[in-house]
Amino acid sequence: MINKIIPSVREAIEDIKDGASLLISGFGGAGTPYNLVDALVKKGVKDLTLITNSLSTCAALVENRRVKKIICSFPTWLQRSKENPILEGVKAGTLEVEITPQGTLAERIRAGGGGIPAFYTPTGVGTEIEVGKEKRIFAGKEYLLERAVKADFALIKAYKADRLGNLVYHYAMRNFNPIVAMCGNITIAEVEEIVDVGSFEPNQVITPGIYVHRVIKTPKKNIWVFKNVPVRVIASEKDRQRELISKRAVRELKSGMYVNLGGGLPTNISNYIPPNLTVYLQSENGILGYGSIADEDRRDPDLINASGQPTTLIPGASFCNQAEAFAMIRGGHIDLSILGAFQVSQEGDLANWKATADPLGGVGGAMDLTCGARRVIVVMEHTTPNGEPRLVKRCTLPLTGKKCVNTIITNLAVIEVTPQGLFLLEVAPGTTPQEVQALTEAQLIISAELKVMQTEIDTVSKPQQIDKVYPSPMEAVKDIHNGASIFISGFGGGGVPFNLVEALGQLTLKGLTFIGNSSSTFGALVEKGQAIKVVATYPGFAQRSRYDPIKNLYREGKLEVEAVPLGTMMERIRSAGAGIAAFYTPTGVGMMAEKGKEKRNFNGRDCLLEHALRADFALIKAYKADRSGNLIYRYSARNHGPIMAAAARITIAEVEEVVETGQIDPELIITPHIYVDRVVQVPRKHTGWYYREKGKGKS
Amino acid sequence: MATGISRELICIRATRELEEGMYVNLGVGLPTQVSNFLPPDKEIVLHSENGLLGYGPIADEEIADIDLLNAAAQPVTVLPGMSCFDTAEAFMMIRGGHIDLAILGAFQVSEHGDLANFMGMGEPLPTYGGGVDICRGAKRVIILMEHTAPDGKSRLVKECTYPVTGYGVVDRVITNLAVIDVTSEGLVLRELAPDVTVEEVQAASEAKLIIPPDIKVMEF
Repeated sequence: MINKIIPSVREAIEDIKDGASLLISGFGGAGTPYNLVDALVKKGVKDLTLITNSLSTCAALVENRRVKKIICSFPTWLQRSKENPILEGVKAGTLEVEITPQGTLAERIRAGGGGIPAFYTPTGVGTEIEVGKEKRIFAGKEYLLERAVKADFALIKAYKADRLGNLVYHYAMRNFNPIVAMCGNITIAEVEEIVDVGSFEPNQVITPGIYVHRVIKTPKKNIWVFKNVPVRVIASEKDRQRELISKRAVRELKSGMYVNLGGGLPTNISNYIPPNLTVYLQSENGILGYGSIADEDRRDPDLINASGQPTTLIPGASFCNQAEAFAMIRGGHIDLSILGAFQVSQEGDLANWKATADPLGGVGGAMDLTCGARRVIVVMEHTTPNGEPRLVKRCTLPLTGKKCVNTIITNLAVIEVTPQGLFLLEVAPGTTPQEVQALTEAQLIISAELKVMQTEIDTVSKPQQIDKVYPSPMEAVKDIHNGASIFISGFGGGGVPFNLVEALGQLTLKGLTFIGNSSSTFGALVEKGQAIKVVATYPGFAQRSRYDPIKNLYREGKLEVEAVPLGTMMERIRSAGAGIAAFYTPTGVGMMAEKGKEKRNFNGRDCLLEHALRADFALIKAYKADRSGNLIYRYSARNHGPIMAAAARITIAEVEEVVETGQIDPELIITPHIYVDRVVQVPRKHTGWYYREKGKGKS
Repeated sequence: MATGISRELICIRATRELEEGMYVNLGVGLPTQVSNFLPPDKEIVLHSENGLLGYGPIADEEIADIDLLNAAAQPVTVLPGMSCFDTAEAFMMIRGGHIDLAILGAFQVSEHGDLANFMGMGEPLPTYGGGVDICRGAKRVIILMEHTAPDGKSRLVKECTYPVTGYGVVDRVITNLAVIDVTSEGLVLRELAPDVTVEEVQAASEAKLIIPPDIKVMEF
């Protein structure tokens, strides 16, 4: 009988020796394996290499001088005035720090766990992060080559486990844990509760036991004390200015928007969003749909926003892991990113991760946000505490991103970045444009329609109900156009959106590209003459005797076919949804699939360069949806659905059941509504093709 | 030409390769039947490329569920501890080296352990499926196949003539006639099917076989 439960923490970490490399999961105290870390400190192992998000997960190890190298995104405390043991170690020459943006770190960890040696991300282009890294252009945009990480041991924290190592999490405890779990040669999980095998519903398991080697039950422990929780009292001039900025920023939000609020002042905005405005706040630590700061009696250390503040959930909220959270960001799914800043230049360069008094700085998710979000608004005080301008000609502080800011909201003004320069659009009540210019180093162009900053927030309009449900499959597909590229989910008949496919077949479309598993998914559509190209892993039917339109039209020269090994195809599609331009994989080296592909050696292993694969539309099949578009799946019918949903411009899902938003347990949501545009309810179709066609039972 | 053992017995012999706690991927074709003969005294976890871990034997018609399929699109059953995930995740498990053993079918296996199993001869298009990832990603690869093709030609060849899925990926081959290991010195004959002789195996093999002194008879 498989039993991964270890009786003691001491035994769980027995073979961790001096010089080991460790991944330590956690974000802001949540999901951090503090009991394992403490036990390591007591054990005395030293010369460790740590891969972790920030100081908050490993402070005890760093303070006790056990660490020789740390790879992280945030080598400091949120409260930057606090003593920083990482900085002390760097100054003493005993600690090496490698800073990597948080989204890149999450991706490097995921890649390490998944056999991908390297990938191209846009994050960090134009900043210090790009130094020493290969830069390359894909479709006119610059990307950096980043390499996977791996470690001897991975220390993770989960909520519940069974003896097979299957894990579930609680709220934002998830964060890095699922990807860190994949990436250690030995993965050790501390959990709050151990349950019998079979207690978990199969679709509920977040980390399958294959990744987990040891499970140890430990007391719930979170050293994070809720500091930085804003008090909703306007006591000082600074508070008043922050309120002015926050209220003005709320006026930029529209119903249905996906918004990320950065740490610091931007998070304050969440407290001013009125109940009649449905805005989906996305937090880099894996929450989509958090709300305002939680009242004292409702605080849960596992439910925190990106600033580490206790928060709440709105109906239709969902959770995801850190790589998925940054896939949302990098992949262009976030409508608006609101960030703080030290400086913004007249060309829209942003500096907000390293100040002069702060030699190491802390990147966190900021760099990813600047290159992923569709629009970036900076909220900041107009001047520094010393009265120096923050709106400068050129940033003197290290850049977070180049030419990435669209709008700046300060306590004095609202300014738009344009190719012609900085346009002063609004001034604060009682402020003149001249006063604003006097405190701005960059030259301002005063708008001909200069207004006074408004801070009124509409609390009376009826809230907009987000309802993505369409009345029929035909209504949902009828605007698919000639020449479109279309993902179709499904594997062996399971998870195939038969009704959407049938409706598509009724349209007289031409020149389409279908992307999916095999002829069983889109053979009928190809036979109708709709396609000029298919991208498939199995361009044919499993039963070779069956008439196959793909093979026949290909032979006649009427159909282009691109065949792709399945793992590569899925990773290419996933990359498109995640904003990754390309990646390397060992799959296909030396055989037919390598033809025409760039080959490169990583760590003694040849790999092929594969490019992201996106599409205009995705037709997928899920089990249940809510009206906002959250989806859950049943067993192996999940297959390609979640991946295709994120990589298409318009995603259409057929489901067996539709429920009201808020009726699906947030922990169970697999495809969050950010990826779903249209939902159609259809009757459950059980073709039973296997038995009908094969005519046999258990062999 | 010797007939050797049945396809079912090839699968049963294959189950002796399983150790407790192994994560095993069963390829399309003959290997899927292995899921019906798992040893009751060893807990094995079956992985399927379409997103299941810990699934059970092939399902009877009455309970067959189109949402519960293995890689061959056969309906399977739920076991306690089963988990589900998307296909990209399924291949992170494969490519990332988390699968202990892949049991696959083949058209041919060469002297060097090259595997040809994804595309027949004369096919116009490569039907890759998940095999290209799996044969490279799994820690150990065992092939189940008939020793000869219907036309009598050997499937154990000097060089593959069918399109190759992966070079040097095969560790062991189990056929109706024998169990053969791929080593750096070449193919080594380890076991004979009951009532099959070394000469019969050699006659059915185009590839050269190394004949060690301690050959066993296959046990089930």
